Amino acid sequence: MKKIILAMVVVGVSGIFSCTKKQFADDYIKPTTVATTTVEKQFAGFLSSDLDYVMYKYWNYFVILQNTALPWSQAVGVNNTQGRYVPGAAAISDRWSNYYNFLSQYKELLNVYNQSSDDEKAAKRIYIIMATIHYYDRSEKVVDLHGDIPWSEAGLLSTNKGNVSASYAKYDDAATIYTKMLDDLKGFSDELNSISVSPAVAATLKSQDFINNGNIDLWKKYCNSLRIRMLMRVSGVASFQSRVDAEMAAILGNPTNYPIVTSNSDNIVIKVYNPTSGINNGSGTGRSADFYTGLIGWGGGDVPSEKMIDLMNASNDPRLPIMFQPGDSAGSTFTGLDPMLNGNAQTDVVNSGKLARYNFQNISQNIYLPGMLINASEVSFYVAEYYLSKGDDAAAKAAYENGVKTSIDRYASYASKTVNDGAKTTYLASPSVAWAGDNAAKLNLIATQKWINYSVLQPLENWAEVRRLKLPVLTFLPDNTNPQELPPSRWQYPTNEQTYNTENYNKVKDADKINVKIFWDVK
Amino acid sequence: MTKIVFKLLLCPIFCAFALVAAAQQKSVTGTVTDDQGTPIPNVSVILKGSTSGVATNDNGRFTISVPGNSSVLEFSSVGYVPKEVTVGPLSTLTVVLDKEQAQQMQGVVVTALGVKRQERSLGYATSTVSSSDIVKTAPTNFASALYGKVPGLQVSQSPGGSTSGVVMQLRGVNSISFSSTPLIILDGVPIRDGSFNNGNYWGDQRVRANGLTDLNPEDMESVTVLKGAAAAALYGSEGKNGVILITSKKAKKGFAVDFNTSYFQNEVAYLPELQNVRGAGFPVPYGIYASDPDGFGSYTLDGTTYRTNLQAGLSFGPKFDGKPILSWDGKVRPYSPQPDRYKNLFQKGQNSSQNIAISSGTDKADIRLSLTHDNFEGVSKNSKDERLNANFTSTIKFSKNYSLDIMINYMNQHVHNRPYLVDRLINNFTGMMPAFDNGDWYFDKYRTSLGYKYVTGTNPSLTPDENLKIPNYRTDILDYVWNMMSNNEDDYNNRLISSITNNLTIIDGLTLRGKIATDATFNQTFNKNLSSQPVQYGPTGYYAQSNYNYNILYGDVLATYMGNITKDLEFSIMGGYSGRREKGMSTTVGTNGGLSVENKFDLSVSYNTPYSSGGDQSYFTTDAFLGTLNFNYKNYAFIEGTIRRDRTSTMNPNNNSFVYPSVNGSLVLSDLFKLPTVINYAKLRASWGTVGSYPQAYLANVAYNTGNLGVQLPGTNPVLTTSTITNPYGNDNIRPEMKKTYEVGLAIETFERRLNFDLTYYHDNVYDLLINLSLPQSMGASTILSNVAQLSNNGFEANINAIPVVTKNFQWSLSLNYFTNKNKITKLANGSDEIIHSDNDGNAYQIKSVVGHPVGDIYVHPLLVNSKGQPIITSDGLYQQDPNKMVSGGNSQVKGAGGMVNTLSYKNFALTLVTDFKYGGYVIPTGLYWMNSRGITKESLKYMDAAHGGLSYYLDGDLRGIPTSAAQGPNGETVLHDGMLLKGVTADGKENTNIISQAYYYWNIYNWGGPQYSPSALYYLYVQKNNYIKMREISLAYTLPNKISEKVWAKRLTVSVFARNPFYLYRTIKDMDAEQLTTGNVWFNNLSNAGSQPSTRTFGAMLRATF
Repeated sequence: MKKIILAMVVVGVSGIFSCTKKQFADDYIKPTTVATTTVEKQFAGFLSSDLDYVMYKYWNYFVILQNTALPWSQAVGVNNTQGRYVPGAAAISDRWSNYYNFLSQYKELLNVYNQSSDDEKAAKRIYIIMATIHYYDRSEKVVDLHGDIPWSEAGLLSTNKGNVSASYAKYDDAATIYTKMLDDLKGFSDELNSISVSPAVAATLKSQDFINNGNIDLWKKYCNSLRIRMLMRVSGVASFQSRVDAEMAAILGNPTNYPIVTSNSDNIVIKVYNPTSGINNGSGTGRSADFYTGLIGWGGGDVPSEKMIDLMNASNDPRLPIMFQPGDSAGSTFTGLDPMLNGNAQTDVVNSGKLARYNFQNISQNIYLPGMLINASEVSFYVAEYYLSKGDDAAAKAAYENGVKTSIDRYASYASKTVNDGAKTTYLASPSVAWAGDNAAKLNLIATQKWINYSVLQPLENWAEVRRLKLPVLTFLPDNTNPQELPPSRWQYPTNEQTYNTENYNKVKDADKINVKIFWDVK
Repeated sequence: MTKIVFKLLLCPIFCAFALVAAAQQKSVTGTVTDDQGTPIPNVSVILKGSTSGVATNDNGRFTISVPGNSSVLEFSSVGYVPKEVTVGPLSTLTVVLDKEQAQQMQGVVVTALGVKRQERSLGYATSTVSSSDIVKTAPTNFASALYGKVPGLQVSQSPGGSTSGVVMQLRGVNSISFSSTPLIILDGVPIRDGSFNNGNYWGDQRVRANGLTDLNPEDMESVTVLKGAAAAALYGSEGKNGVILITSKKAKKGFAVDFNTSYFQNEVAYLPELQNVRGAGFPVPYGIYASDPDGFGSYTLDGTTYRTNLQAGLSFGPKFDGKPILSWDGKVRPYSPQPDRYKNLFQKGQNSSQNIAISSGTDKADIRLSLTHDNFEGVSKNSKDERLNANFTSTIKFSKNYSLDIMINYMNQHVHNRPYLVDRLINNFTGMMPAFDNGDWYFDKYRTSLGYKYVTGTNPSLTPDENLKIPNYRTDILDYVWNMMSNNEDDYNNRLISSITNNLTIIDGLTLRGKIATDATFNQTFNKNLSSQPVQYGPTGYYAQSNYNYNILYGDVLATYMGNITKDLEFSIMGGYSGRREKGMSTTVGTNGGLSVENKFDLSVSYNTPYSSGGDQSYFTTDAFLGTLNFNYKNYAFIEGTIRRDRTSTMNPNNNSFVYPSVNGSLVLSDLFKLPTVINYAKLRASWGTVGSYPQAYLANVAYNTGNLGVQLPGTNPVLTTSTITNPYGNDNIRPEMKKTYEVGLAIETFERRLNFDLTYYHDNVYDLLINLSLPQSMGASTILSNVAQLSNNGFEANINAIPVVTKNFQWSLSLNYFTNKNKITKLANGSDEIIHSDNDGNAYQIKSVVGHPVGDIYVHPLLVNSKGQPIITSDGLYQQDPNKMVSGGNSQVKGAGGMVNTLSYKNFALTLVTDFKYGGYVIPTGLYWMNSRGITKESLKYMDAAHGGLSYYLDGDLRGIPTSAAQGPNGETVLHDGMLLKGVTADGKENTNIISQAYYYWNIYNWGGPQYSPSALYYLYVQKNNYIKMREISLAYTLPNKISEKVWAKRLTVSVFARNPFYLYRTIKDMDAEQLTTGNVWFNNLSNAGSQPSTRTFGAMLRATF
């Protein structure tokens, strides 16, 4: 009897641990994940997946921009170190991985959307339009860096239910990608005028759309302004010219149907409401601020170029004391870094504390800087360029001056200041700023102002425009220790592609050289 | 439930104490010898019916008190037939013990699930290492005592001291993307081991360990290694990498107290061979650095201008001349070599350990209680590891039919600052220490006199005079020292491993065993990073508090029936169930945006709110039904079959169960046939089995990550997000890895067991290998979990034990272990013939597995040659890597390894020498080669002047080197004597005539990057064979004569001195320890990264006493 009781105890105790089928099913699922999602959540997830490259973050600046677009556009001084004109492997692969993760989240959004009912599709169409506009904005930047990229077939692993062999993505021709984006954006610009969004959808959209908070009007402006930027970028390409003319005229000729961003209040930005919420520029402050530590790099990375400072000094630019601050031992003198000095001499100058820096309070340590997607100034400068090319000098001038004024206002707002109209007028009348000279001179004015406006805050746009217009004229000290002696024309592909997407990569391999120009780079 | 456990635990403890008693009256002395008259040491002498007893000394002598002449003494010793002797009237006894018969000699082996079986009945290879061989040189964990002692087992300890992980791998690599570490079982309880990765600097800057390093070697009786699938088949899905069974020490008959103490010192060893000839700079005519004509810079300090080094990454500058120079720390010293410069960043680690164990055993109950206190230090300053281990084991026999085993193992550990990775100093150009520099200087300068972090240049500081301005300091090294000294992390670890096992005999032959066990870890961590600058410049510093809990609950029940079919044919059948649940939880809360009060460590001083916080949870469930069937014919033929059906929660719930069968048998030839008398014992064995391995938790499930970005626009709702998981992308149809093994073996004992052999041949096939298959990111994920590969391992294992010499006072015994392993990728299911695991350094090298080859070929770009095979030299006189081709530079898998243990004893002295060796695995320690490019290694001195074989030349206007024997070039150019002329032709086919500086050569050839980045870097030079023969352990022990030990009431007293890793007999890579690259327990973690911590050697002394 005793034995039987003992045996029951022994078996019974162990029996407590016998596992149930439900336990196995429960434990299969990672606690932080869910099996299904909604269009709304995936939309916000998609938008947030490139925040590190929209907001002013350490990694983007330290690893990627500080060694590539920033010095190559002379938004900052060029530190003459060895190999400075070759984009680093880390820069390329990190930017690439992030973009393709972002792209995959977009494709997943389409996948989720396509699986929903027709009614739901109709109700939530707005999400797809908004997502696609933003996706094209970010895609443009990557095409501008690399040229042809895997695009139409990219990011489909999840849509293909994990089928690897069906998911290798071909490279799409860069011009074809531009064409597709322009076609779709044109369609959206009309569709947004007629779309109806139910109150229920609009209510959720207001939270989930953290770019424009469901403001359809702003999305129209984002869409049309983006079209302008893209159209102007390809405006030198013969095959695009008729399209550029027709669409620019259509947009500018009908501001009611095709509104664009013309004032700073319309700027398409991602605001920082609270530095410790999910959307921020890092939570470190002062010298620990993300943007500051990224921009300064190994030291001296936040020093402006001599060219920019000289121009701003000469014209008494009201932005000068807002965007920059004098070096520690420079009194009130603003000095930029001479790109033609050799590296050691530059280090000495940097260490001497005589060079200006990007203003800590307003720019590099300003953790409330909004993530910039598109602003009134840049749109105005593209419009000015268009009018200039069409011989409409008055409209060109008006747009140019609007660009300069809004740029001054915008930078002033980062310092919580205002610049009065008188000062702006005086500035616009100063010799190196005033609208004067022949068309080439005026184009240079537009390009120079756009360059200052972009500065370190929109580095990829800046580098693209410097490449496209070859204006303002920048000089660089050749790097004799490297086969690449001057800034390149594009980034090569990350080795991840040649290694794992070999078949498709081999078709673009011959053009994968850093001095091959992007199709719009025709000057 | 907990009450039941509590009662089950408590009751036997009290019973055991109650049973322990003793009484003494008369003193008896005596000698115990074998039938040849040789004294037998360490024979247990127990007064029958009591717990009092003694052990014989090395001369076989003992003294014991007994109540009277009718007292009976029990003599027992391993290998001898126990004997009882009545004391009688005499006070002196001579006792002769007979050796046990051959059959009984074959020891009992612990096999899967803790089942004890006769060694002779096993159809597979096992190896057992006993306690005394584990603790001889006071290792901080048991695994690093197994080097060279178990055929088929590869061990490598990651550098970094007692808090650094150890990698074990049995019979070659078994997994491609995941760990090959065996399952660890302590007294039948699967324990948390986990993985570590000390090579991921940007993910974690501290050296960490796996769970097995928590176990105290002093409490282990033995470690048994189950290697093949058949041996491990009862562990099913977890036995794929083999099983390490640890048996805790238990009380022997009688009462005993053991006391052990050891002290040892670690010192940095096997550093790269650094040059001590020249300082920073580069041959002046190349104009790489702006310098004075003599290659120096200058700096004016307090009105005096001194020469200085340049702030230069390259050390191809002026030779040391012993004349004054201003160094970066502001001191004027002779410009002379600093040979210990790098070593001075580290300390000598002081370590001590004390252990006391009390044990008492009777027929009814035994009980052992042990307490160990360790104080460990690594070579990294400001680090400490203090441990307290308490171990309790007991067996209580309530009746003939019912007994209870209890094991409680508690560890309390406080780690102050796990060592900081030296990654930046090895793998980063800007952190490599130049030749004229010194670790001591960094310790002087890493913080200001106010205790803030150093400040450079004109950056704001409260102590501007202390700012570092004089050239050639390394901020990476300053940061390393600051981080090591100022970022404090205190880990408080509590771990309780306990089990209780009921053994019940229901009727004769039918037994029931039930076990419940836990392995519970409770960990608290406090991070206190000092404020690095005054708070008025912005808040810095950090405080965080974290909790980590991990619980394993394990239970099993086994029913066994043994019976006879005929007189000669016994059988036993066993059936059972085992189940396990694991739960993990972690929470971290920390300050956000720095500390608003300098060096105040509390959440309340967080600069921003809310605090930064995070937490996660994890769960894992597995269970199994299992059964075995054994037959034993006449005790010389054995066969066993096993079967196990597993379920796991890490795979799709609709397809998560698998069946693993095995069969093994053995034949004792020496009993079956009449063999020559020289052969005492011979056994043939064979086995076949299947085991598996499933993916880690949560890897397979395809799902969305969820997130919450918080409220953005005021008045709206929080932004809720999802995103698809892209690294790795899951796979709901994943299958477990399946390993099928067959093995055959032969054990032979000859010459009265003075020469024994054990040979094994095994062949493993692993199907459906789990791989995180790399994908082009453009597909939408960087990796996907998949079953695409199949591999095989086969090899021989040999173990030879011999006692070549025995005389009255001297004995030499020898144990030799050796194994070979041949690994091969046999198939890839995705139609490809290779898998690329990683592409590194901008396509400079790739780690690939190619069908038909072993796992892990290191692919590099070969030298670019023309159609005639001549190297093509660039216009600046260098070789190039071929951008269009990659070839294998070597394979990473070890082909063979082993060890030799020699024990020489003379009278009371015993000298043990353990050597081990490995050969056949290639590695690519990139950081060490990059040091050549910086000019800081001995290698980089080649051709530096005429004495080193350098050519004389001058540079023309295009920086082309023209040979000359004149004192000056034709236009007054400086003549250099460090020229090299590379054999090869220029692009147009002409012989290369461009002489280049050796500095230019080293700088470029050993640079970072693939063809796009460093066209002239030759990574094929970095791939090296990592063969070695190492003196692993030396121990010299002296057992004090009884006369002396008796004075301190000790039965046995031994003192020893020892060394671990004292020297190499041979190694192919002179710039590092052969295990320097061990940074994690997945094979590809251990090929290239020399930047965890420096390797060490250890010297110490130990005292072991038995009372």
